[in-house]
Amino acid sequence: MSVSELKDRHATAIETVNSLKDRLRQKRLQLLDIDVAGYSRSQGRNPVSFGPTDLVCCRTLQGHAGKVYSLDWTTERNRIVSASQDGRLIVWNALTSQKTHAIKLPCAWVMTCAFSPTGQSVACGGLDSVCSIFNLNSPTDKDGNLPVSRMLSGHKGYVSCCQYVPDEDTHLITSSGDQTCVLWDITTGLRTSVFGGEFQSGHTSDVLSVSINGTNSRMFLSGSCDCTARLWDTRVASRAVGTFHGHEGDVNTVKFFPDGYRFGTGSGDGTCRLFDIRTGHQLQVYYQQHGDNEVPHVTSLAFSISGRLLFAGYSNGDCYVWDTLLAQVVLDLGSLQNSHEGRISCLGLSADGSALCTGSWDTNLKIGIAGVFTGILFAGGKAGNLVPICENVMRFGLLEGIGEYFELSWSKRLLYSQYELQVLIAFHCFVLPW
Amino acid sequence: MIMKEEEKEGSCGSASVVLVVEEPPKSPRSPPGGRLDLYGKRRQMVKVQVLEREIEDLFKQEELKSVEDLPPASRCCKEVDDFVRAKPDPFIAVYDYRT
Repeated sequence: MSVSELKDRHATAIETVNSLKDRLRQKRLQLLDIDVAGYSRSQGRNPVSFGPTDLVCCRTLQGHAGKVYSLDWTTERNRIVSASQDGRLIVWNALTSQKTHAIKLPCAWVMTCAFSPTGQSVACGGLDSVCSIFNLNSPTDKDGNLPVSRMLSGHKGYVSCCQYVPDEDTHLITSSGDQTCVLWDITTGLRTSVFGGEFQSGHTSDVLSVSINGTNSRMFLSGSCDCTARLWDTRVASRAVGTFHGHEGDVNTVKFFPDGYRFGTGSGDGTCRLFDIRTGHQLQVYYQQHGDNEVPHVTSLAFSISGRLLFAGYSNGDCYVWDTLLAQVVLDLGSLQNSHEGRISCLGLSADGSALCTGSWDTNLKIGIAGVFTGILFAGGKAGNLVPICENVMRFGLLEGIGEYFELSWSKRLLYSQYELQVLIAFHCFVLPW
Repeated sequence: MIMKEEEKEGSCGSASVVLVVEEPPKSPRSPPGGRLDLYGKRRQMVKVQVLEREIEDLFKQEELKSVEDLPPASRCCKEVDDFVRAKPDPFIAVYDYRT
């Protein structure tokens, strides 16, 4: 076939694809009878309310000398790994703010990091196109550096994001500027599957983010500069299970909704969106009008454990807490005292959903704790010891210095009768994100 | 590189340079004349294949047809609402759950 024939064929194919997509879009529009906010309003839902005094930044993790690009929590213990342009990964104890590891990277241009499910290893990747694995229990070398335990080589572009497959320290999924995602077998260092790429239908531009479904780890999402998010089945690498259109800019971040049937996206177009996996419907757009002409990009997002709140970091330093049901901003963490002074580049919730950590180009990480009315309670046990009703309070030591005593109503006491309450102590604040 | 061609004149043994040929200045290599740019063709072919596969998928997966059988968005919105309100959340006060 000659080049001119190929060009003709290409033009015809583009025309057909566009026409089909248009028909698909029209049919979908007919099915979008309401969005989540409209439905919630019709059901009389009240907005989530946060007062300004309810919010305290309880930890600032200082130690990086460069922009923080990525962070990840451990699934069990309360540790955080962060990656910075200072060329180091730091593992933090989120309870004490202490650093347990500072790992000097062979390539300083790191973009992503992840904790393994057991918390024994961390992975990172960046402009070196390699995903490096560090075993935190390995002995350090003569210079005091932790050696790389495995290098996953094969991407032909930068590694933008990595995430371990839940419950498996041996498998990891990466996304890359080479337009592909890869499932790796860390034991062998080999690629188990490549999703997308030149000979497969997949993303047509850099892939920036991945998110693995917590309830079905065979399914994962990817977000790309081609303005789409795609859903993949790790057993079928040849093509995506679904492609989700709607964004008008790079899809910088994707995250599964806690129920596993929906997911959120954050984009360079300044919006976050909620999509339904089974139907492909775009259920909600989360967008706040800004005064100036420049629309800040959404860089990172995370859902609270119920999905009621969507935390979204923006390129201008804002960090909005969205009420997902009513699509309203209930708080801008960036406007609070002691907030970050630069772009919010990453954020994540602890596995139990009680704490939020944000990372910024201002080189710091900040942690906020969810302390709720029922959560910040301690009860006198039989032996006279204080029994934590809400574990996270004890773990994060929130009793230090702040709070106010007050009596609870009898109905509230009933909720905790199993603790044989003698004394109830509660903080005045309901919610303490960072 | 300069190429010099020497030619001997006559049989007396005296020699003189009669022709000096210089190559054109260096420039980026272009495809051989009269031949195809195979790399470009291959890329074009791949692009077409990807598109044709996408077309096939749109039909093969019967995506267009299946859209007609999909439930409306309101059903998904109800599922979101039900899930969110049923699950406790450390960031949301108890009194908010039923709202």
